[in-house]
Amino acid sequence: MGPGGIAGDGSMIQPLRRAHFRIWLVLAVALYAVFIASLLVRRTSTPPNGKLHWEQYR
Amino acid sequence: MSAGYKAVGWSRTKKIYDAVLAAGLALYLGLFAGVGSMVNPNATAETLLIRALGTAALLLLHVILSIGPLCRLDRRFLPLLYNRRHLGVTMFLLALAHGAFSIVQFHAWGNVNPLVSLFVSNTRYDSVAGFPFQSLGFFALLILFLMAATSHDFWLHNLTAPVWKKLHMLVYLAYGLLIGHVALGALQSETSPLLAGVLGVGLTTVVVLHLWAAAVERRADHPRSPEAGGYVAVCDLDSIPEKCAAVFACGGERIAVFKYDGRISAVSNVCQHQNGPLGEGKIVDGCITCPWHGYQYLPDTGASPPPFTEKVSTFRTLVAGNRVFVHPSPLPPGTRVEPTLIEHA
Repeated sequence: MGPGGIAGDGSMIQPLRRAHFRIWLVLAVALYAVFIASLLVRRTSTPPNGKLHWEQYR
Repeated sequence: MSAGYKAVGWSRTKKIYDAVLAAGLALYLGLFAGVGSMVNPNATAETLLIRALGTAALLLLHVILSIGPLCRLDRRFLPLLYNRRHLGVTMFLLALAHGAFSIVQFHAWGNVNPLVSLFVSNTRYDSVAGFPFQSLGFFALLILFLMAATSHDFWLHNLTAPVWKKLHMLVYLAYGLLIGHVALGALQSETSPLLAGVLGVGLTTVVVLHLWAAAVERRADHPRSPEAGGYVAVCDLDSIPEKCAAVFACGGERIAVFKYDGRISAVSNVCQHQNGPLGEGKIVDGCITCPWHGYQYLPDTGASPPPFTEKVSTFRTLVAGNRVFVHPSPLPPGTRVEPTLIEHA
């Protein structure tokens, strides 16, 4: 049966749904890990100087 | 439906959709620039523009990624799906402008090719705080370009639906790269909790919606066992609203059983255009009409009315008393099956 048939549908839709579910499980873990890690490592690398704005010295 | 190539099949709905999108974007960019210049008067116009374009693209991507699962969970969101590809192309253009301005601002004034500079100016791949986040944005932009370039139905038909679908699932990888791009980039220098809060809420919304919708889909795929003659009992007649369908899973796939004008017909639930759920559509002008983009099929043959050529599989049906039965073996797409008459209709 060609790609327009239910055999084509059957071989396409359910694996796509499964892949979709698995992708979002992986993304949920990975993206929260990146997001939380990025918040934890946030720090000011230079002493704050409220009067200094780099854009003034371009 | 596709009878030939047409750049955009404009309709009144599409024009309204795009007008609302353009007005919303103009308002957002204007507000961002206005408020941004007041909050940070030292910011240059280029900086404001880069931030406005980047945040607009990211917000739009969250909206785009939320539309699919929202439509699975509640049919009232279906109108948003109708022209989602225009949202996608618009988001790519915003991201492209953000990337182009950023490369000019941060990499174009040295003696190294700006694209080379993008990858060699920071090679701290072993650092979280100092990670070269711009490369993540670059690769996400490449994926978004690929998707925008192949978004037209011309490519859907030429690449075939399975290849096109797989290609467009790369948007999830692009989303992951962009979350990394923002979390390891702007979030490291932006001390205000606003960006972190918005990013966290956006990420949670998209992840929860996708997993929730996927869980609902998995429950709907629970298979039914065949009874006498290989037919499967689907539902009661009364439970199918007139000119609508009941959808059930068989052999891992879904079949839509329509009730109309005192008859019952069953077809594959999968629209040949973009795999839309035909069973969530209605019979309009005698044709099953896909709720996603309006592709139509005759309920007894599963074929689109001429001059269109799309076809879906059909299934044999029975009605015994108030029960509806369907034979789960699909017939070749476009095969006519005499609709089952409802005796008391």
